[in-house]
Amino acid sequence: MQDEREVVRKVGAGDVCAFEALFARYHEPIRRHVRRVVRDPATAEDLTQEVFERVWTRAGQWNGRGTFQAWLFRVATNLALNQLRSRRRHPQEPLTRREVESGVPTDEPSEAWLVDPAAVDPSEAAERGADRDRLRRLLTDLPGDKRRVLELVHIADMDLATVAEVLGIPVGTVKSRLYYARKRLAQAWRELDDDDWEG
Amino acid sequence: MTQTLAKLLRDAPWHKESFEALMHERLPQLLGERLPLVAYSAEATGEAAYTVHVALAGPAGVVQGRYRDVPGPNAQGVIPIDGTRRVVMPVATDRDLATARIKCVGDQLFDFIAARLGQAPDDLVWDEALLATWFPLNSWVTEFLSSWPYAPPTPPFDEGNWLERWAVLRRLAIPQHEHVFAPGDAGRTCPFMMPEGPNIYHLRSIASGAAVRDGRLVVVDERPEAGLSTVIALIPFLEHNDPSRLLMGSNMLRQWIAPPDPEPALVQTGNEPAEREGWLGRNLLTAYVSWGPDTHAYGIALSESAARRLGYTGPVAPGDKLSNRHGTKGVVARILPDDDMPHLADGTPVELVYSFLRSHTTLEFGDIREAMLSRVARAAGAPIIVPPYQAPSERELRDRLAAAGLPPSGMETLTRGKGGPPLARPSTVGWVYWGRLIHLAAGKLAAVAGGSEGRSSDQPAPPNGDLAPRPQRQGEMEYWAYRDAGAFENIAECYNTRSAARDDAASLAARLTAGDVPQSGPPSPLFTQLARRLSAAGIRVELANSRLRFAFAPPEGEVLSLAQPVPHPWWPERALAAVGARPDLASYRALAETNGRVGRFVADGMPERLRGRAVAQLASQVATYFDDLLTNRHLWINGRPLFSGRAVIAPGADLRLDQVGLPAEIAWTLFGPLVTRELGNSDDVHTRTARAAEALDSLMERSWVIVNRAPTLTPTCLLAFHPVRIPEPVIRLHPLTCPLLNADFDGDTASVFLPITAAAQREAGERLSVAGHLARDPAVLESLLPTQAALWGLADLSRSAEGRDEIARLAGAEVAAPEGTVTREVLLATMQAVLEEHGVARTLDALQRLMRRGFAVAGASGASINPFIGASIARPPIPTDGASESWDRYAEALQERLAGGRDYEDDSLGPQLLAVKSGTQGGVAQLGRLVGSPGSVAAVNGQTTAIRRGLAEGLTPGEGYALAVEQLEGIGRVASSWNWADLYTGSHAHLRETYKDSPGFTVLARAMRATWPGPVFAHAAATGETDPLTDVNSRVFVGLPVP
Repeated sequence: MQDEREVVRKVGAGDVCAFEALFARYHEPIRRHVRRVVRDPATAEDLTQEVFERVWTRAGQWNGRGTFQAWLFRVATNLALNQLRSRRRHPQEPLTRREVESGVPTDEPSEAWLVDPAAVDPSEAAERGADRDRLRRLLTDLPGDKRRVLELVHIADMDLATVAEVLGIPVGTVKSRLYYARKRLAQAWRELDDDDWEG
Repeated sequence: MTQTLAKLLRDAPWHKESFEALMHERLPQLLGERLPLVAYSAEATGEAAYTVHVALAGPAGVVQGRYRDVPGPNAQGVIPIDGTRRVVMPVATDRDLATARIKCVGDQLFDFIAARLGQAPDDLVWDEALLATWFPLNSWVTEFLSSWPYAPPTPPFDEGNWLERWAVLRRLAIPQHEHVFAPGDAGRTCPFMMPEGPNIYHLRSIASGAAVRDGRLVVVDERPEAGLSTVIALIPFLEHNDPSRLLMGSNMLRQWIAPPDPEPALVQTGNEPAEREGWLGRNLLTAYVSWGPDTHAYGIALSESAARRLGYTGPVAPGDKLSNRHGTKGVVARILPDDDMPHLADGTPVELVYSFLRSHTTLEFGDIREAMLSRVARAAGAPIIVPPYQAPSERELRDRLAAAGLPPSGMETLTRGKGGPPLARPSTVGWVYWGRLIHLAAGKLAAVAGGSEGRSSDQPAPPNGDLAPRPQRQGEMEYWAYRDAGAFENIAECYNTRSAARDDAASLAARLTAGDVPQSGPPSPLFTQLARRLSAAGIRVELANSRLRFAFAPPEGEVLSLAQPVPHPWWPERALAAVGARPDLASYRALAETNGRVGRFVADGMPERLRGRAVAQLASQVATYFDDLLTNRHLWINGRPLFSGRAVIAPGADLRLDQVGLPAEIAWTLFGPLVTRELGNSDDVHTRTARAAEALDSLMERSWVIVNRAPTLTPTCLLAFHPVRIPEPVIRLHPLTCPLLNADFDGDTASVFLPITAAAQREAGERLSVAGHLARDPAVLESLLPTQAALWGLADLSRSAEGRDEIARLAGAEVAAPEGTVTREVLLATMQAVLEEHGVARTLDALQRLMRRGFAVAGASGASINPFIGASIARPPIPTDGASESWDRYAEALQERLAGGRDYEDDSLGPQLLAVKSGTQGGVAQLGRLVGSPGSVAAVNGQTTAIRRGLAEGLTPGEGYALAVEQLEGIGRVASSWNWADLYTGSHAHLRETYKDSPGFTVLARAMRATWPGPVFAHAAATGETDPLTDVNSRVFVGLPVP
C-alpha cells in the first residue's frame, strides 16, 4: 500500500479510490473494535458507517502526528462512547426484542422458547391467548377423523372444498365433522375455567 | 418429616446464593478482565439491596464509582423493585436435568452484564462520568429484571399465601423442547404441577426433595413424597385423585386468601408449616348431594353461618369462588338460611352442598375420603395426619369409623331442611377443608355505556392506573356466530355504531339520551384504521359509491421523506420516496435513524461503497417497518362495543327461559341513558330514585340484552334475554341455557351487550333468543335438554311406571324407554316429536317443566357418592402377572360388568351408574378408573406400564407418575403440532374460516385471507383495481349494510 499519509491526503481531496483502499483495510478491524465496546452487532454496523463518514468528511483533521490507525480508532471509540451516553440518557426506553437478541450470546434463553402472553399483547392475550391455548388442549380428546378436519381447516388453513378433496370425502361430511368437532370442543370446554390454568 | 425436608419445603436458597456469588466473585472478575480495575467491593446494605464500589486506574490517578441500592433478592429469593416483587426463574441449560447446569438469578445477570460490558481500549481517559456510562450497573440490573425472558413478570403475588410464594420461588425453566417428561425428571421436578398451555415443555416445579446446589439440580431426599412439589404435598389423600385434579387442586390452593384467624384442617398431610398462620381455609360440613338449581353445574349452596365464617376480606357474595384441596371448585350460587340446608339426624345443619355428579367424571375422590375421615378427627377432637401415599386403606377407615361410633358406611341420612323429611338415600357428609379464592364476584363486575373518550385500537392501552372499565371484546369468533345467526344489525352495532374506536364514541351515550340512534354508516373504525395504515405505506384507499378505489399516493400527515428512494416493499417495481410516521413503532424509530445517516451520506457525496451499504440498510428497515405497519391482524373483524358489561355467572332458579338476572350495577350502566331519556332528567338516574328504578325495570322488561360466553364456538353462545335486575354481583342464567353458552358455575364470567338501535333490538329477540335459535335451527334442541341433576332426577323418576307416565305428561308426548329408564337420547327423541308437532313455544314450556321436576326428584333423593364406591360390585378375577395386556383385558372386562349393571338402588355405585347410563354425566371408562384398573398407559420411556389400582383404592407413586406422563405427553404432542408463538401473536390465520367460506376474489377478501396483506393492496393500487364490496365480510369491514 502507498504511504498512508498520501492516501489520507487523497481522501481529503475527494479521491474515491483512496477511500476504497482505506475502507477495505480498516473496515473489519473498526467494526470489531466498536463491537467490543458496544457489544451489539447492529449498533456496531451503524457506528462503523459513521466512522468512515468521518474519514470521508474530516480526514484532514488527522494532523499527521501519530498513526492514522490510532486516530481512526480514537474516532471510533468516541463515537461508541457517544452512543453509550445517549443510551444512558434514555435508559427508560426499552430495547426492542431484536436489539436484545442480537446482544445476547446464543446459549442464553431467547424469547422463542418461553411464550408469555403478557409480553406479546397485554391487552388481548388474556382473552384470546387463554381461550386459544385451552382450545388446543381440548383437541386431544377429539376423535381422529374430526380432529383431522379441524386441523386442516384451522392449522393448514384450507377451505372446506380442499379439505374434502384431500381427505376424499364429500364437502357435506367435512361440514358435519367440523360441526361435530366444534360441538365436542364446546362440551369439553365446560370442564375448563379461566382462572384455573397456568399457561 | 425429616428436618432437612422441612427446611427445603420453606426455602429456595439458590436465588440468594447465586446473587451473592455474582456480587462477590464473578462480577469483580469480569470487571478485571475488561476494565483497568484496581479495587472492588460489594456489601449488602439492606434486606435486598447492595452497594458496589469500583475503582479504576486513570491517567490522573484512581477513578471511583459507587453504585447504591443495587436491587437483589431477599433471603427468600424475592427481588423488590419499583413497588413490584420479582422472582427470576432458574434456567436449565439442558433437557436432562440429571446433568444440566442450572443458571439462577446471579448466573443469568452475569450473562446479561457480560453481553453489555464493553472491552475498554487501553488509551481511554477515565473519569467518573465515563465509568458511569461504561458500567451503568443499576440500570442494567433494572433492565435485566424488566426485560422478559430473563425475569418473566411475576404477577404481584399475595405473600400472605405462602403456597404461592413457594410455587413461584421453586419454579424452573427448561428452554429445550423435546418431551414433557425426561428420565432425569423423577425426584427433581413434580410430575403433577405443570402448565398445560404453551409452556408445557418449559416450566417445572422443583420437587420438595430436590435443590439447586453448585449449579446442579440434585435430589437430596429420595422418598416418593419428596418427589412432589411443595404445594402438591399438601393435598391429603392425593393418591385418590387423578393427576389432572392434583394440578387443579394446587392451582386453586395458590389462590386462597389468607384469613386473619387461621383454622387448621381436620385432615392434614404433615407437610404444612408448624405455624398456625399457615392455614388458609375452613373446615365446612359438606354434603355431596344435589340441592336443586343452586348446585347445578358446580354451583355451591352455602349456609349463612358458613358465609359468615368465610367472611374475611368482606362478606361472601354469590359469584365468589371456593375450592377445596382436591381441585373441587365452584362459585357460591346462593347463601341459604341454615334452616334451609340439609340437616344431620342430630339437627346439625350442613354448611356447604356440592353436587354428587362431579367426582365420577373429573375423578377427584380425595375430598370424599377427607369428608369421612374428618368426622373421625372431629369426634376425637384432634386432627388426623394423612401423609402423601400413606392414606389409610378401606378396611382401616371402616375400623376407625366404627371406633368413633360413626356409621361404618361413612354415610348419613340427611333431612330436607330443619325438621324436614329424611332424604331417600344415605349421603356422604363430613368436614372438608375449603378456601376462599382471590376471585371475588364484585371484582369481576364491569360495565361501560359510553361517555368516555373513544380510543382507537391503534392507540396503546391505558396504563394500569386507569381503572375505567374497557368495553367487552367482540372478536372474530363472535362475528362468525352473529353471521351464522343472520344477526347483521347487531354486527353493524358491534363493529361500527357502538364501537369504542369510533371518533364519536364519547358522545354515544349523550346521543342515545337525546333520542333514537340510527346505525352509523361507513367508514367503520376498522376501515379508518386500515386506510390510515395504508396511507403511511403510500397507498390511498377511498370509499365512494360503495366501491373501494386504490392508488399509490404520497402519505399524509406526519411524513418521513426518505433520503434516497427505495423500492416499495410491497411492489418493488415502484420507488418509494416517503413514508407516514409512526414513532410509536420501534421499527419506525430505527428507520428514521438510518434515514438521517443516509441523508448525511448523500449530502456529503459519500462514495458508493459506503452509501450503498446504508441505502440497503434503509430499504430493509422500510420493509420491516411495513411488516409492522400492516399485518393480517389488521384485517380481522373485531371490536369493543360500548354498552357492554361482564360478571361472574351463577344459576338462576326462578327465571323464565327468556330472562337473565343482571346485576344492578350493570343494569343502571347499560340502561341509564335510556331511563334518563324516558324520565326527561338524569338526576333520578344518578341518585337511583324509586321512580327511576321503576322506569328501569319496565324498560328492561321490554328490552333484549345479549349474553356471550367465550369461546364463541356456536351461534348459541350469543343469547338474547330480557334482563331482570338483581342485587347480587352475578349474571344469573337459567340452568337450561348452560349448554347453549358452554357455561358452568365454577368461576366462568360472561359478557353482556345492549343493542341500542330499534332494528338490532328486534333482531336480538327474533334471532338470538333461545326461541329464535331453536326456530332457526332445530338441532339446538339437543343443547336445551335438562342436564346434570335435572336429567338424573328424570332418569331416577322413570324407574317406575308412574314416573314414566308423569314424565310423558310433563313432556306432552309419549316417552319410549326401551331400557326401562329415561335417557338423554330418549328425552331428545321425545322433545323432537314435541317440537315438530307443537312448535317452539310449547317445547320450551315442556322443557322447563321437566327440568323443575328433575331437580326436585334429585334434591329429594339424597343421592350421593359413596366413600367406599364400588365396594359391592362383583369384579373379574385380578390378573396374576404384570403384563400390560392382562391389565388391559381386566380393565375392559371390569367396564363391561359396569356397563351391564342395572342396580341403581345400590348405594355403593347406583347413583353414578344411573348418571352414566342415562347419559347424564360420565362414561363407563371413567367409572372403571374410579373403582378399578384403567389398564395400561405409556410411561416416560415409551414402554407401557400396567396401572393396577383405581382411584378409590389409591394409586402408587409410580402409577400416579405414569398417568401424569400419559396425560401430559398427550397435551404436549398437540402443543408441538401447533405454533404457540404464532397463536399468541396472531400471525397464523387459524380461526378465519369465515373468510374461507366465502372465498371471493375482491381486494379486501383477498387481503383478509393473506398472511401478508400489504402486497394485495399494492397490487390493486398498481393496477387501478377497485373493490365492488360485494363480499359480506368486506361490507362489514368497511361499515356498509349487508343486503
